This record gives sequence, C-alpha cells and structure tokens, in this order.
Amino acid sequence: MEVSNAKPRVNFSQLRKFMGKKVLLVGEIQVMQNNTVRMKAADGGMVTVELTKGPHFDGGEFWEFEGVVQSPTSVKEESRTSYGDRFDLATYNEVCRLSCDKYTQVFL
Amino acid sequence: MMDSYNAGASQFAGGGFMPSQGQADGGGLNSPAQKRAGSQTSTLRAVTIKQLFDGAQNSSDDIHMVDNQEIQNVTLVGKLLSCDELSTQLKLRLDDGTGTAEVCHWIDADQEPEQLAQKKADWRPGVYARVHGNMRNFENKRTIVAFSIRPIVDFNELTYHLLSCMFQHAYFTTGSATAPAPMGGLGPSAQMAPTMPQYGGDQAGGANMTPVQRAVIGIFQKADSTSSQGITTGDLANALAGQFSAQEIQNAVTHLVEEGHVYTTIDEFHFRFSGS
Repeated sequence: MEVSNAKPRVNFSQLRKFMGKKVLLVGEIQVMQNNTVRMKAADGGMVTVELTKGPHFDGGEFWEFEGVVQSPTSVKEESRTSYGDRFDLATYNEVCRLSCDKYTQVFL
Repeated sequence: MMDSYNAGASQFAGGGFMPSQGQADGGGLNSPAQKRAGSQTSTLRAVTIKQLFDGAQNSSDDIHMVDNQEIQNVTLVGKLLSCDELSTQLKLRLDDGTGTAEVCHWIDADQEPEQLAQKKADWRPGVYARVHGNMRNFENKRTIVAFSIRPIVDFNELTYHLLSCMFQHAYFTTGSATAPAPMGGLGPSAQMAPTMPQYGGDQAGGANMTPVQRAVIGIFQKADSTSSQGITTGDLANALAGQFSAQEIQNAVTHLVEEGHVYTTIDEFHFRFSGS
C-alpha cells in the first residue's frame, strides 16, 4: 500500500489550493477547441483542460481528468476516464467539499 | 473466527485455495473473547486506501484496524492500474485517488477458462471497479483479497462510496446519538461488544424506548456478566423501587422479550440480556 501519490478530488474553487499538484477533476464537457476542452466543474465553475491524449471523447459528457493544476482555472491532462452520460455533479460537489475540508483525514 | 462468514466466503474465494479462518486458527484455540469480537468485525466497511494505510500502524498480523475498529470485510471503489495473471491468482493494483493498493483474486481451480478470460477482459487497466474483499497479510505485505471485483457502470456509485467512507468514519470516530462512542484502546473486548454501535434497528437503550424500558435494559446490561440464571422481575422491581410500578416493569420486560433484547432462561420468570 502506498499513499504518497494521493490526488484530491476538486471542484473549480478548490483548484487554487493545489497549484502545481496532481488532482482529479470531474465535470461536464462543454466546448472542445484545438487542444483544449472547456469543462463545467462540480461547483459549476468553468475550467480549461489542456489535452495530451488526443481529442477523442466517446462515452458521454461527464469525464474525470487526472492532471496537474496550471492556474486557478486550468489543468493539464495526464489521463482521463469517462463517467458516462448520467452523473450527478451536485452530489459529487459535496464529495469535493467534504473530502478537502472536514473529512480530509479520510483521503489525504 | 467467523464460521458463518467462512461458509459464504468459500463460494467466492474458490473453495480449497484459502484455508478457512477456522482451520488456520486451529479450531477452538481462540479465546471466547476473540470469537465474540468476530461477530462484530464481520460487518462490511466502506474504506479508502488511505484509511487502510493509516490503520496499519495500529494493526497486528491478523488484526486490521480502521478508525480504532477491527475490520475484516471491506469495500473500495477505484481505478484498476494493472492486472497480472499468476499461476493461482490474479494480481491487481487499485488506485482510489487516496493511494494505491495490491488486490489479489484467487483463481478457482475448477473455473472454466472462459470465465478467467472474461475476468481479465473486464478488469483491464483504466476501468473503475467496486471491490469486495478482506484484509490479509501476505509475505509481510498487507493485501486486499478480493472475492468480488465488479466494473462500475453508473459513476454515481463512486460518489456514494466516497460519501459512505466519510459517514462511517464520522460514525465510528465521533459516536452517535443512540450508541456510545467506541472506547479507546485497541481491539474490541468481549465486554464492549454488546454496546458496539450497529446500523439500523431498535437498539438497546435507543431513542425509541420508553424511560422504563431503558431503565430495565440498563439493569440487564450491567447484570449480564455476573448472573448466569439471569434476573427476575422481582429483582428488577427492587432495583427500580420508587421509580416505576411492578406493572410498568412487567410490561417493559414483555416488550423487551418481544423485541429480542432479553430472553427467558431457567423458567418464565428469569431473564437475560441477549446482547443487542
């Protein structure tokens, strides 16, 4: 077991707390252009994700990006996972809120 | 340690590969206290790898702790990083965002080759999966021995799991309204076991009871370890003299028997606490 590579599950407003760190960002893809996507994070904020694995998004609008926080509004992709086309972002936002705050000892 | 559990586990673990816990422990060599603890630890905990890692500091070879509670069955949700086939097992790595852990799944000798091929196809790297298993020590490494690994289809299950981890952590570390917070120290003792929190149900001393029922069950809980025959309604009336009438006490006892909190012993006038 190894916990040195923990990645917090964040929403838009929490990105600023993890500058330069690896995070898990889940949201709904809105627009794709060139090599980036605009994504609605769990709290509704818009985040730009710089893609490194190509522009192919088969399998729904909801995606998890594992990546490094570049700025309070952008993340550089390291990998991605489809969460399908039915996902409750509002409830997931509670996970982000609680896991980075009140119950941080369970996760980080 | 947990005979009832092992009966079920053999269906999942591919009977024969794993010595059952009872055999490994040498049958009746365990103290009654350990046996008693078994019924508590066979509950299922939703955990993160971070919690298992932290708990390892309080754990010994056979006893695994999370939130100062002994655990055996755990469930996790995470992404599979790798799946390697060895002669007797599939060895997987799981990443749940809080860390990575080794997961071992024994290959049933009687299993059809197609079934194994199906598992390897389902459990490919990058797939999110729900794992059910228990904690074991293998070659001085803590490993999750999985009897079920199921790919996640609806990702709201991931949200649900993460919230469950927090809820159960809060439940065991901050206590709850109806159950006393677990006492300090490692390993639940036999004395503690009856008052350990359980999910759901009308708990002993719980909020659903009337004052007289609570008072009566309080006496049963204290008396339990000292009296083998149990206590009579006369004893209860003496202990609660001035607080409740004999009829109220009789009604309370009748209710507690119906709810399974106490039971009759040598005759219909002696009662003992059932431990729940």
